[in-house]
Amino acid sequence: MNSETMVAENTASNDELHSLLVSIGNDTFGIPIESVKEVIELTDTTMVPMCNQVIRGVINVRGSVIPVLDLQHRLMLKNPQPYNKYSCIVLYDFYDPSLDEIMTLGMLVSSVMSIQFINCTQLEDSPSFGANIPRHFVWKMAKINNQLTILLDMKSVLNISEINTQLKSSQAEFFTRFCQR
Amino acid sequence: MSVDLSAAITTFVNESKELLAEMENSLLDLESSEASADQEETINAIFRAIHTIKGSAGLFGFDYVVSLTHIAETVLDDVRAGNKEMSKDLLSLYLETGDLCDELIQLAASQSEPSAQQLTQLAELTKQFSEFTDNVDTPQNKDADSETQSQDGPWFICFVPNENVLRNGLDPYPFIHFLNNEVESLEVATNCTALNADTPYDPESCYLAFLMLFQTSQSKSVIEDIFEFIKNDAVVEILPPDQCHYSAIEDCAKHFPDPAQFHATLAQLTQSRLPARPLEPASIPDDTEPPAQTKGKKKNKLHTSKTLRVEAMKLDRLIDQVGEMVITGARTNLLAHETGNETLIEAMALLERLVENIRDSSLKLRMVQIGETFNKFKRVVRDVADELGKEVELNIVGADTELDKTFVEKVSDPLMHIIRNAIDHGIESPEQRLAAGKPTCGQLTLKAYHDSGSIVIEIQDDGQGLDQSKIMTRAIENGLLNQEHSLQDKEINLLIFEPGFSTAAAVTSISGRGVGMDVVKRNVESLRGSVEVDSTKGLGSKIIIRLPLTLSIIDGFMFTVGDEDYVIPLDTVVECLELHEVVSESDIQDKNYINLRTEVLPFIRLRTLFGIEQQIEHAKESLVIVQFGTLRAGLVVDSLQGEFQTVVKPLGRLFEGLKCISGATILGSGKVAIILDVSALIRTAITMYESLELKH
Amino acid sequence: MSECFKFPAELTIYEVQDVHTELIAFLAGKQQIALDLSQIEELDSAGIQLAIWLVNYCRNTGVQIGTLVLSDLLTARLSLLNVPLSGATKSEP
Repeated sequence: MNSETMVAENTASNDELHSLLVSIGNDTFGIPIESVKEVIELTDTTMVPMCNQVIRGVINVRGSVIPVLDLQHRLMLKNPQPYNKYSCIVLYDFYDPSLDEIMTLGMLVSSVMSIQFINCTQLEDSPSFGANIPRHFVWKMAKINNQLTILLDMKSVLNISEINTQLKSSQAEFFTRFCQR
Repeated sequence: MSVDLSAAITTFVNESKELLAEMENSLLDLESSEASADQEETINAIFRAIHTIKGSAGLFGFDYVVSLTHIAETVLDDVRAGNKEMSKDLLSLYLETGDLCDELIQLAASQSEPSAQQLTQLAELTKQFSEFTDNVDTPQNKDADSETQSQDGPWFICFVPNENVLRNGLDPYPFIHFLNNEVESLEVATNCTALNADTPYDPESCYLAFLMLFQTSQSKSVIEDIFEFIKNDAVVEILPPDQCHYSAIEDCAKHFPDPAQFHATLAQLTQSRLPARPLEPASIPDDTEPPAQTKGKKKNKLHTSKTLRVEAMKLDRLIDQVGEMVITGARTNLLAHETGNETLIEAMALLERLVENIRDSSLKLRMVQIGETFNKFKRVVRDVADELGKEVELNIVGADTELDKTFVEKVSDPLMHIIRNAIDHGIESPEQRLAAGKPTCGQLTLKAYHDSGSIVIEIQDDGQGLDQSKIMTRAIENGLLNQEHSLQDKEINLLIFEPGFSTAAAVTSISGRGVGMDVVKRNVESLRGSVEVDSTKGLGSKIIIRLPLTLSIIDGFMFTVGDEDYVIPLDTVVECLELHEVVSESDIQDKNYINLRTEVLPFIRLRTLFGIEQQIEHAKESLVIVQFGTLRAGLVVDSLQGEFQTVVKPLGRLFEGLKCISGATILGSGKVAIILDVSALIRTAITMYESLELKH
Repeated sequence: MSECFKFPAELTIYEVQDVHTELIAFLAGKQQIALDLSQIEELDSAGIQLAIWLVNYCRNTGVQIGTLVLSDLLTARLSLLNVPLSGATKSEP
């Protein structure tokens, strides 16, 4: 999906983006708010065996089993910080075209900060250097409170196929390690 | 077409599908069976199917369908009369007709036009059918058929719809209209005196009754079938000429709400057409039994009246609700135990049992017989065998074995592929078979049965079996193996499930594209099943597919590894033991198997597999012996938690294809527990054991 | 001058209840009426029955039907069923 469509999707009628600001590790990021279903506090998650750290685990949300991604690991941040009482799980709905269904995923963040209305004029393209997360996760940058904040490209961050492939190979490693004892 | 009809059309489409499927089965049965008594009933069944479809199609104005079924029915009537044999050619014609009819019905229902190709096919079939009728001498036709009534003499029908017929969504008029198209000289007398009555008029009740006279050369069952769809909401008494005596007609008066009106209405018909009143009213034996609406409609129809159509969605919702009930029940049970209140705990135990019963009954609703799926393959086997010039006989065993409906669609494709493979590569040509001392006709057996919590489907052929040297060669070509690798037979056979694998030199259109068996394996494993192959060169092969009985609610067995609880299907648990009673601490570290009594049991220490570093006291660990099919292994876990009802929740696409994990469940405490895939764990244990131990 | 009741284009099980109610109201206190059934394009047994009932009812309550116009469809169906509408079946028990 190109940037224009994404802007169109995320924009309210008066050309503003509504973004949920969260801190992940030591950094702040923006997540489009339209698809945010709910924010819940970090409760016990059930570990899924033989998965890599990108998957924190699964939780029970009103009878449904929802996977929770650890965004610090997903965004490959160096120096991951431990989570604390401020940490939350952001439940995010998105449309999976291959299944023709809406999926709900949970994202574990260090804390939830605020909701920002960003005018399209405040958007800047991501720089070709210096960002501390892989570039394909960055949609655009925005100046919020005089700070350049990364707005995440959720389609990339929540690329199910990619994560699934990673999980399969990390699982394969577990097996190999086990077999070579 | 007005909106009102759409529900009726949907019903028609669904019922026609069933009728056409039955017809296909009957046609295939005709091909194989020899008994002539059976044959007669089978042909009648086919006739009824075609006729019913024709009638309903006529009501909806689906002209192409009517035209096709009409000529098919006419020729079949000849066969019924004994004037024509159902030859193999004719049979193939009917099979083709069934297919085209299905297509035409779908098109008509969606208000689309048939393609030029379909129209050509229709014309071709019509022409071929006509050739069959033209060969028959018409005068003979009329006399020879014992069911055809004599042409002289009137037919009489007393048609009295029930008061609620209109409210039930039926309309008597079109039936009369259709009858008018099918017969000659139809005369109708309508009784509407009930509309005169003093009681207030309810426009939605039916006050009409009809008496009819006509001529026709059709048989009685044909006329009966015209009223097929309304016969449950009306009295339909049909008197063919040989039963059309005065007393029989008189007897119909009892069907009128006001019998006195019967004669008045009768008087409206042309009196000269009615049979004369005899001088001695009692002299003519009258068979006043309702003209065998049940005649000829034997076991088939009785069977269907005992079933009920339920929308699949409603069933799914019910199962979901039962699932919620199970979870809430578990939670409440926990809370009850916490209170320590004896009476409450007892009451909860009773409730839990009831919940289990409801769970079992609801899950049974989702079970359908696998015979339905197997029957589809009769046609496939016939066509494929024909195309390849081979002779194959299909045997079906255990058609009444039941499986979850969600499996039915998903298992159909893998089975189709395996069957095609078996006929293409397994079963030899008749010449080759003769040379090998086998009968020319190959045997293909589909067998289904239940085995400890699974459903097993076996496909066995008596063909040439797997050629292991060929497989090895191809595997080496594909780079799957090195030349030095020496494998056991079983492992060689499993190679056929590798992607891109096919030893077929020529890629036939049937199979042999080399994309088949690995897809089969993947499909089966995505259903949490397993597939094995057994083969003897020269004698044949057997493919064994194992599937869990149901995916949604199972009896679970829970244990702890690390800090988490895990669940496996209770059906897979054979035995639980204290680990230290069976094996010493040192042995556990070094080996991949346990000597259990006389058995060598491969095992997996889940703690190690999951990469949990911390140590745990050897004395505390437990051994759970699990079995899936014929394979057994041991799982070493931290502690046992016991049985409980598990509602299986899917993990979602994120975890798709991950081995050993098959779902999740929600415990009474609200926490999620992961459900492990026992068959995958067993396979891993065995692979480990074989690869390491055999090297020593 | 007789008032005319014009029937709708559809007279089936779905409409008969309402049309019946309207007819009762229409007929109240009238001595001569005209009936226009010429627009009827969709018709089922409930509709045919209503038409027959109406004619009988008028006859029984002394309402005179001055003009009676039927659509071709209605005419054809009544013809098959052998129900002449103008002289509606009058059978005494």
